[in-house]
Amino acid sequence: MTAPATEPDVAPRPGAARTPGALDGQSQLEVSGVDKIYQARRGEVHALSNVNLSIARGEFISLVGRSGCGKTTLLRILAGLLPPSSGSVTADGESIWRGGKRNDKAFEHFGLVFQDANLFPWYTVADNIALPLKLRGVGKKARRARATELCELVGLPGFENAYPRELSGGMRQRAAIARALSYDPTILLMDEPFGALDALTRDKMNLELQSIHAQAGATVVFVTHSINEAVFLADRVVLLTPRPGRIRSVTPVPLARPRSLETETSAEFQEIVRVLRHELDEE
Amino acid sequence: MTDLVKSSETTAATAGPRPPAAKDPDAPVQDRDTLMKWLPFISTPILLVVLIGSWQFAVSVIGVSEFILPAPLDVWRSLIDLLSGGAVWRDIWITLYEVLVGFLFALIVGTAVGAVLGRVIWLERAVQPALVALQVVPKVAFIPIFVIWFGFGTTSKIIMAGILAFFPIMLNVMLGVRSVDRGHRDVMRGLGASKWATFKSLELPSTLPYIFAGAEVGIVFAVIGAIVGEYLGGSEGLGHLVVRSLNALDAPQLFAVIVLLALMGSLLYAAVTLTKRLMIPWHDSVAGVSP
Repeated sequence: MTAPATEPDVAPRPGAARTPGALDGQSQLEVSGVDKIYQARRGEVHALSNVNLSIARGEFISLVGRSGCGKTTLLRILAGLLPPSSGSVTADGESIWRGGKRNDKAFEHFGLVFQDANLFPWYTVADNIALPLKLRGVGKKARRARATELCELVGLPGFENAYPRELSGGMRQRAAIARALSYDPTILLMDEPFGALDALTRDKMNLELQSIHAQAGATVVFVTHSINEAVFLADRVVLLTPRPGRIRSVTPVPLARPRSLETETSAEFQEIVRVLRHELDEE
Repeated sequence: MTDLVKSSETTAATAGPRPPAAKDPDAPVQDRDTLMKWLPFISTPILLVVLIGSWQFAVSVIGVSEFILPAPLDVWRSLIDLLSGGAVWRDIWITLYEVLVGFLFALIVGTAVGAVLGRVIWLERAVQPALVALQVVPKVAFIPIFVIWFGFGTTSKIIMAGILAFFPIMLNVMLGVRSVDRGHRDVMRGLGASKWATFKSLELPSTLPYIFAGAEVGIVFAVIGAIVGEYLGGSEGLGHLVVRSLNALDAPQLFAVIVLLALMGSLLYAAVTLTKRLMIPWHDSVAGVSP
């Protein structure tokens, strides 16, 4: 398969509006009939019930919902960190879970970003960013070059030799994003990556994520509990409701890209947020 | 770590090229930081002077019997005599040998056992009562038995030093193996890392601080084990020299040997700490609290 990052037509096109989920009309991630049941001390917890979702190549999907609605569970299943109780998930036609076992081959093009940066304190920023490349046997020089390039991309130029403890929270999260991008993933899964940041930094990171998405052209699944953030970033917003966790609605966001902070004040944006908030309150 | 992520001084992140660990260049704060850094180097000599001063005071002014408390100068002379006499060097070497062999043995076995018990939960549960029992038993009580089994030579002391050093190392490693951050594990799993890669890039480096924490306690315990072993069933070594000095009622020499033992203990501890500083410069216990 070809990585969209290398296709010239996905390169940043300033001002160009992208039609949601219509890059090539082909689905890259396919979730069908996924159930997740946890065995808790007081019986079973139905975390996810019959989740079906088809995500197109290059699409940006936001998963929103209250805490406990199963959005993180769904993301962990997609990431291969948690087996589904039933149902199937395929990436590029390849099943990512095979009989409860993770199919490592299917994950070669996945990048993960967690709520915590999870940088290794014993590695410098550059070594952290290049860790996935090291695991893939890329040489030292090439790793270094890529790390430098990515530091530039995520706004950490000159910090290659710093240790994670020398960085602020926002900077660490940037480094974590750079690590996830290091091997040009075609699917980027993000679990509330900016949840621990203050509002100003968060706005800034959202803008940067948008431009990274435009440049890298990867498919993104982004978990958040902020409706504003979800709408701002996404091509489609998937709303989940708890007990049991299931998809309540899928809302397209036909706002032009690139979006700016002014977009959030537009009537169109406000209307989408209003509808989603209403749906969230209804349950 | 996690609460630091939540710190809000993040927006200035991109501004300017790298100011490493940039704190506020606030002059008064910097002054206080420098002072804090050098404080022990100022306070320790002062404490030493106060200690030796009051010691001398007790001897010459209060008039404590020199059988009980010899004057600092007498102890110093005795120490010089010992060191220039030459015989003491053999005792120093014997004790050092017992401590080092026992400690290295404890380090290797303790790390291995700790790593296994940390990972194999059922095994840890199975042997836990036995471990607790072994831990609460005053282990120096076994020295006479070791002397019977292994003789008056160095072996029984090595075993004592090793056993005393083993427990803190083993327990720390066990804790360390279990304390590998779950988020870090998710990163490696998400990348489909092999077992070996996970060990090399994650488990080993994150356990190293625990190994060193155990080793710092372990080296102190090893010294205790060797000395007590020599007290109770020795024919040579610094501990035995203490006993010999006591039997000869040579108080200055007794004190001098204790000074030697204190020096040996401090130097060994310093060696472990220095190794730690070189091996895990990134760790908070070495680098200080993050900015």
